[in-house]
Amino acid sequence: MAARMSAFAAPAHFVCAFCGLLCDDLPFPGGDPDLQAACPKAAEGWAALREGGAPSVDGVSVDEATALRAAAAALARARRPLIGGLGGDVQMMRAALALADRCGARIAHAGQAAAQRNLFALQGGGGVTTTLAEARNRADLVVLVGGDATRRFPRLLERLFVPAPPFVEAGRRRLVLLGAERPRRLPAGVAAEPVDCGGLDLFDAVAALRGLCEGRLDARMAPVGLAALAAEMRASRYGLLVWAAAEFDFAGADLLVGQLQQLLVGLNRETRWAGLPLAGSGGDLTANAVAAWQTGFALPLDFAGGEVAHDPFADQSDADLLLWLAALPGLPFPEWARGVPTVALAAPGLAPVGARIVLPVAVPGVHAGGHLVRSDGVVTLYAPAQFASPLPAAAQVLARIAAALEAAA
Amino acid sequence: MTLTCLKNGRVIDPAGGVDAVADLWFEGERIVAAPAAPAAARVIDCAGMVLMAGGIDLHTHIGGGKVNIARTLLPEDHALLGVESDIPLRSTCGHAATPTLAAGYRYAQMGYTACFEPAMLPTNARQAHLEMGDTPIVDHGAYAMLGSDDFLLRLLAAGAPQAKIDDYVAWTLAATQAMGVKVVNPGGISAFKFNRRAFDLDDAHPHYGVTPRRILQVLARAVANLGVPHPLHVHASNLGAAGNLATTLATMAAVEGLPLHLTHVQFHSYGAEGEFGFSSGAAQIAEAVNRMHNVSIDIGQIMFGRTVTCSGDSMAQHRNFGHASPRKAVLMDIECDAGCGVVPFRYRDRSFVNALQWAIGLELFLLVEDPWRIVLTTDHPNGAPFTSYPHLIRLLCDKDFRDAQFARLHPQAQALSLLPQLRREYSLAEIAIVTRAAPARLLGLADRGRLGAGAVADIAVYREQADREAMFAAPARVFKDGVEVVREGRIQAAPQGATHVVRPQHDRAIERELAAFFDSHMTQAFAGFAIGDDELREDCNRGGRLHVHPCARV
Repeated sequence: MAARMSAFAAPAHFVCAFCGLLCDDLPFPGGDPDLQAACPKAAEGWAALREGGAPSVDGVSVDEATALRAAAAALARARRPLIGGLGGDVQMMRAALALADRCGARIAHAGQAAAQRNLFALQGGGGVTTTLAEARNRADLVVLVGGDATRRFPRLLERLFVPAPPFVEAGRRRLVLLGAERPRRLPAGVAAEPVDCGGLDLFDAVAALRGLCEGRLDARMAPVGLAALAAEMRASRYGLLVWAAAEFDFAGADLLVGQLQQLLVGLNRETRWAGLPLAGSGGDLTANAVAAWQTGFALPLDFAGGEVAHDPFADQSDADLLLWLAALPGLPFPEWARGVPTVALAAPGLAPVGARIVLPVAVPGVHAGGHLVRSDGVVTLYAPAQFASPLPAAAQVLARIAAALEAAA
Repeated sequence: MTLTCLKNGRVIDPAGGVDAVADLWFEGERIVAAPAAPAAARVIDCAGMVLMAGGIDLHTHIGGGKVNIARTLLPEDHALLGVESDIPLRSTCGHAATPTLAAGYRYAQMGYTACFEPAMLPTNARQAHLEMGDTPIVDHGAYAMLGSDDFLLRLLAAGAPQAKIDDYVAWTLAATQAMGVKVVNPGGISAFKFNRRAFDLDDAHPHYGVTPRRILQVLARAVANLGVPHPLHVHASNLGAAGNLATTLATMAAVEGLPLHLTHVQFHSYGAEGEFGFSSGAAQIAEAVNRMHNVSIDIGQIMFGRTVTCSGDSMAQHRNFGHASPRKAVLMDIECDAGCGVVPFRYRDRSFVNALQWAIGLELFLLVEDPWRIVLTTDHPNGAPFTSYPHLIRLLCDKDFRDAQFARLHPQAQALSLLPQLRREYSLAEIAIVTRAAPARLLGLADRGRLGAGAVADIAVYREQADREAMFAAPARVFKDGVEVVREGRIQAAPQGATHVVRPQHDRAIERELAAFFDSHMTQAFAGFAIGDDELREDCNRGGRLHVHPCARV
């Protein structure tokens, strides 16, 4: 694929939509011979894409109009349709919400479980967060929490540590690991120091840190490493807790995030600290942002009965039709949906195996322009098309399905 | 184009000096003079009706990151919203942290046809425009927030000439597609990032050394030099603090006669007297406003009940963390621009402080003499949701009603308020000024907020009733660009509103400096920062129109 696209590669502005960091300082992959070195996530996303792509129904290539009619008919027949996946840009999400509302469908993002870890913590007790530039410019103590965030956000530490921060004295910035693996990607000259938690698991270590930082736990009663970290945290001028909720794949992860947020709230009584929760991959922040601004609620939503309802714990496996939107790679296809009739609006290479109807769509930032929300939830970037492509944007295909529904009604 | 005659209504058009029973004609999207030989006109009987221009809210938090944090934070806020309609509408919810769809429908149902988001962070401008694009029916625009941004503070620390600051402000307006410039707690949001917890008008910034006074002066000067119609929109230092009236008076004086719009001035009109160290400063503030003709204000009236406060003033909002109800609040530092704080809140009439805040807002409304320099707002949703405007209008128009509400307040708050002595009742013409004619004039909207020939046919038709709350809650008809969008409270059409912007010229040399600053401080490329016209119209605003208002650069 790279070979053909490189012929069209535009040297202009490229925004990489393959993870939530939305890097816009990388060359367009179509022209980059060593993408793996630049960013393995971008390489992985790029490798998942295929050239061309034709609409199909039951495995047979058809023209787009036929596939659209089939998709509309399937939606019209469905009693409990679910619009899922939701990997795409703002325009796709606008069109998906309009269609869900029109059809009385449910709508949920494929990465909902991870997104809800941050969401429930926020809705339970609030918190303190920051954005990428503030984090990079100010943090004198960076605490990476749990797992390895660079597995999902490979350029995280490059973006946090390069170039030198304007508001931190040279040599005063430290990176420590709290219950976190050694990052697989670490910029040159940056050391990552593990904190000795004295055998405590991450929940207990964070609870102990809160106690220490808020003066409720005597330092002599805590593991030495945590007591030392708490003292450094309180002395820090602008500290940063960094976590990727997708790495917290265990029960009660939202409670852990809640503890981290309350640790931050407590620290801000005396000094400045903020969280940098990493998300945004597969368009999860984009989808949730549009849902929230239009309806008030984050995903999932249920438009059954002509009104909007939000049940974050709703079981979706009674869906009798899945409209799967995958304009971006990396969306986990739910196991329960393997037997559910599926209409896929997917970039070439991203349609789930066994989808009955497939309509190819553009990848935002590659074949078509699109707006995406970055990991910090504040910066919305426009990812321009990199070359002229016949692939329609997902929003356009959704609008055509809606029009076909109207025509058939 | 259909010629329409709204017949025999009481036309209240303060901008045209009209308050009389008359016929009002419009054709297509414009108001026209009565034709000499009216043929084939649609005639709508408006006897017993009051006709005003569509309402204009010049300070309402309808779109952008902090509002969306508030929505997300408060699923319990979102009551089901059945919008009455004769056409299929989108499903939506909402109370205080109003979603975009609900905001558009509800504003139109009250006879409002334009809303301005007052706190658009440049790095969040795309999201703000996308949200406003999803706000149906009403026209919209936004003020770019400056004054705690590192680029400006660096310019000031380096002693940059005013002309360079003018260029930067003009570039910001163009790049973010803004209608005006707002400053929030000048320099203070940045100072909070350096762990300062309070920041008064003459305090030196802990890193850049500049003072809020200087920031106000250069921004007010830039807005004037560029000929931006809307004066610098100022959320002053020390929001919500007892005794802040001294800072507010000093802020008015600081701009040395340049145009200044002080926003949600209720939150900045507090004395520190009395048993609880909190008192009304409304009389002093109103006296200054009456004297200083360069100053306009909006009130930011509070109403009792649940709401959510969302502000760019992270420093002030952090002080309020302990008051959150329910007990959860969000604080954020943002991308070399500013920050934000979201604190859910319940204003209670039995709370001394809240009761006095309510009274202070009304005292200001009644003590400021020139209605052309005062705009009706609740700083939605910070003082109350905008849906409380009809109730607020009744409070202004009806002394007996006001007194009855006042009698419920915390007794010590009653003892400290002038309100019972203020006999003024707003006339309908004055309501028309503070809800449409004055905001249109203050924004430079030459063909809105008025009903003269040539004006846009944004018209609200209210059934005249003694109960002004009932009257303004449900207009008989609302026309937007000549299209009937509401009839008897029911939505008839949901057209896409336009985006309003200004675009003063700038010397593009500033962009080289900005590009270098993006490389050293920002985490996005300068090349992709500015929002283009096509992107704004087609992507953000769903094909809606773009109105570029002229700037009289002097």
